[in-house]
Amino acid sequence: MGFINRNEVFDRGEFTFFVPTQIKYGMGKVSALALEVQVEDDLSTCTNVMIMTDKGVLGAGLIEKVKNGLNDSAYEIKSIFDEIPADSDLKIVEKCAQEIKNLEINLIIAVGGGSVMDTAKLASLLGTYGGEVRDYEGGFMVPGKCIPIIAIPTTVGTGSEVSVGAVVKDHENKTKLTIASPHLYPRMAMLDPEMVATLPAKLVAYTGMDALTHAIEAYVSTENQPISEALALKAAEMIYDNLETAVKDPSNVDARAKMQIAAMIAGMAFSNAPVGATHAISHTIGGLYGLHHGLSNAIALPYVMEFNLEHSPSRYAALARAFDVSETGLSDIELGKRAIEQIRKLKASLDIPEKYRDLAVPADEETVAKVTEIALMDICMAFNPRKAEFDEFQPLIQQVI
Amino acid sequence: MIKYYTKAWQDECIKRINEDPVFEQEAKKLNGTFIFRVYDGPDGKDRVMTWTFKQGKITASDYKSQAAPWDELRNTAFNTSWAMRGSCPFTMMAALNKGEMTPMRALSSPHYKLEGNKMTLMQLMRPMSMWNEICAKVAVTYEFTSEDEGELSSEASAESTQTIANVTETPSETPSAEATEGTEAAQA
Repeated sequence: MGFINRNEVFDRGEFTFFVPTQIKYGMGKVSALALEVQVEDDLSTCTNVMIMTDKGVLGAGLIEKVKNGLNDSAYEIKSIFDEIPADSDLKIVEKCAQEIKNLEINLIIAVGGGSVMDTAKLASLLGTYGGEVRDYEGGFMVPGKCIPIIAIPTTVGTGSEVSVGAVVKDHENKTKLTIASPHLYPRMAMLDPEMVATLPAKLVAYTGMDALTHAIEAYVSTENQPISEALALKAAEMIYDNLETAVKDPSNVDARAKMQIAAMIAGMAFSNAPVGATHAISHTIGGLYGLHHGLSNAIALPYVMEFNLEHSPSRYAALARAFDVSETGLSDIELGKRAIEQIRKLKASLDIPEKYRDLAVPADEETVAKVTEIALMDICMAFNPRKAEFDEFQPLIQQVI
Repeated sequence: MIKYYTKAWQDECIKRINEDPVFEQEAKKLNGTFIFRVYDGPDGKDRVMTWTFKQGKITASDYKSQAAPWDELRNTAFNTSWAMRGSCPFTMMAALNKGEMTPMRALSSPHYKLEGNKMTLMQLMRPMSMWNEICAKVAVTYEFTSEDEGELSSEASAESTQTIANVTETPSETPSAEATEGTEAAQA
């Protein structure tokens, strides 16, 4: 019997696994961008290029690497759209989509974190089919193929480079919209550790905790299955082993490279075994108060693990073993509690606050009620191992706020 | 007026769906058998509806009801040959149909059980939403007794004497282009 999974009963009658994104990894890989793209038949003629990014990435000089990678090739950079904020919104998507149409862009290179890549997905969608983002809200409402995207992540968390969905903020209504479709998978993900070498420590911590949340929630998802489980557990272990080092020692290329890979693996896992209550809460808090998504996830994660523990004890026990808990003779519940302790220790080592109130989120009853109601309407709740009505969920929100 | 979640309601839904040219065009991916178990109706009954689609047309349907708790219905295991099975109390299904509750909210509730391959179901979200919208437009009443149901539809009240296996695995062929509709499935 295996030490980690303990040969659990296989109780899924059926499942699907799908990740169509081609993955290319290598130190300095971006410098060979044209070579790697042009060898792909379907991309060889897509030469009208838009680079989408944010001002931070641009300022860090990373776009120069991309431009150099396309030098002396058939690919022509028609535009560098660098207006994407940390928490992108509908208006930015629409503006970018219009530029895509005007310039007849047929290849998008998204260089950045989750906000950039998700904006790229939705701008590609609107640039192809028109309309508004709301027209496609929910699952599988995208009618067909969109303008291909090459995703070059510069953070270690989102997983959007291999994920099925995109999340964007509606600032007017203070909500976040989720759009999921197999047509939103990037065509190619290019992972180059050089692109995360200069990522500020704080963002490594936040995005790394985002990736850890993806891995843990995918592992306990109602839709988990052997393939996603293997990916999720591997990602969780890699992140647990490397996040603190990646934050505290930027020169440790090994740790940052592993974080980059682990974040992508977690993205593959949660695209097939969707995330749960942590994300439902995080989407709500992010929509209402603008907290960084990874930070928001990091705060809610251990509380949600406690909330779910009795509904999926063996899963959390396996996570404890992956997190280096080697005690034997403990029940699954006890091991699960150890896993939660490990997460709390990791958070503390990264200076991540314990509760949302530490970041000026109101903790009054009205706020708790509002967050509870909105979070319960998030699609991610459908995949959480424990379902809940308002009265059952409210105490969790009270705790985490 | 048609009583909600009765045979008469199902028949009206089927008729509207199978006569809707937009639905026919948009729902060609909708195939397979969708089952809904609705517990504790206002008439004291549990009910089960079966809707079988082929290329977006409802080709078979079935309806059964029995005094709650109908243990056999409630305990029948999910069969992976079905596209999905949704189960919830009548009050929740009615709230969904009235638009008082969103499908997302239902899915977070421990009282709504959705079985089947959710990733596949997500791919069917568009036609299922259309299915739901058509059904929601049928004017219905939600307050009725067991006797009421009998008045509404001769077929509807026929208490099931079949086993659940018979009910769900061999839905009756729906004559003509009459149709059905599902509700929660779509809503979920």
